[in-house]
Amino acid sequence: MTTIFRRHQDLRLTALDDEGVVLHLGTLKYFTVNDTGLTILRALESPRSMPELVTAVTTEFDVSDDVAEQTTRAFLARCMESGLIHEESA
Amino acid sequence: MHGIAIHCGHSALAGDLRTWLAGAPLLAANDVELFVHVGSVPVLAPDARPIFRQGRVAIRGGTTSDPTLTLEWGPGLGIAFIEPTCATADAIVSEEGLNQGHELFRSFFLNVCILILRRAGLHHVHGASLIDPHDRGWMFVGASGSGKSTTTALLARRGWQVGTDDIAFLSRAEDKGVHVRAWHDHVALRADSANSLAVEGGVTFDSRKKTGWLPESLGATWAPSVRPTVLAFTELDAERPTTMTPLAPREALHKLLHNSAWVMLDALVADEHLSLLTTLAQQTQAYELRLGRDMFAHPERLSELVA
Repeated sequence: MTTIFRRHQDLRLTALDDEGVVLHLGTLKYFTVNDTGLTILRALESPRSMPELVTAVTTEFDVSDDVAEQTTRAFLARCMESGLIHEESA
Repeated sequence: MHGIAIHCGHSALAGDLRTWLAGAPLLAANDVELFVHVGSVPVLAPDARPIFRQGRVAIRGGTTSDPTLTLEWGPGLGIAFIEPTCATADAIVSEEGLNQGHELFRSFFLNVCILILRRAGLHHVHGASLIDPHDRGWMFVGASGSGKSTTTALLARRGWQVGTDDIAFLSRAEDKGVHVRAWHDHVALRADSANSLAVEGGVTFDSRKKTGWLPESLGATWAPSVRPTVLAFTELDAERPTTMTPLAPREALHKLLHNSAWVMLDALVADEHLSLLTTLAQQTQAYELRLGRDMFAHPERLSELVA
């Protein structure tokens, strides 16, 4: 069984000066994310597994797989706390 | 290009609505229609969506799973439904709502129009739009009471062209830039500001405790469309001389979002609205504008501060 991550359907994204802005239309709140977070959220336009998200990060940034996975896990945990992302088994 | 078409069986209200909209010749790219009935206002069933409040108006925004917008004015004064697929609103106004005078238009119909105009590519921001004598487009953005209207009136009397002091709509121009389209309405001032400007006459808005002047009656030419290159976020600071502090585009975007809560209210058009705000932050030089009392004597100093 694989865990996949899915972006909330009411999120809207924009980017400016290497910073992302995320609107959550379902809660009327907005968030800012750094360039790594923006890469992950953009990759989640379609549901993705952890290895796919790590690949998205290492493709965009010059970091090892281990660092990319650590960063991605930490970011996803914060996003799930805020209701921006949820995980499900596939 | 089209305006807002009114369909209303109540002849007096239909006439008032057409007169009100004729004074605001805001053209949209698509058909925008407003169907209005007079009758009892239904009570909405409980709804899990968060409520966005604008004075006595409560709006439940359209989300991806529940895209119909509802706007309640009241309690019991009026209600409007905006369906997901078109720039059309169905509104019901109670007899009590009909007797609310200027508030019927300012609180209820203006908000309904703001929501349906978004479906036609016009996205509301609390802001003023002007053109200075050097032909530069300016936009002042800020909360109520932050000095937008007073500054607009001062500059109107110094030869600046004026679009609006508060009801601005962003739209995408053919050159991909952002233009600010203005609702042609009164620049509304509190008594102390009006006294400081030494302007006379005007239209009294009792419920807002303000008096209003059309840009032309302040000596300005009305500018229906402005392409801003200067974006100023206004705050009052009577203790110090006026200052303008440059902001990064990222900071400007945050302040724009703070003053454009409508961006959150309609899943169908939120992307377009967010994109316009981002472009506006990029195409302008943004400033934090702290307005001192020296503005009353030397409003043209703003041009020098950005030169």
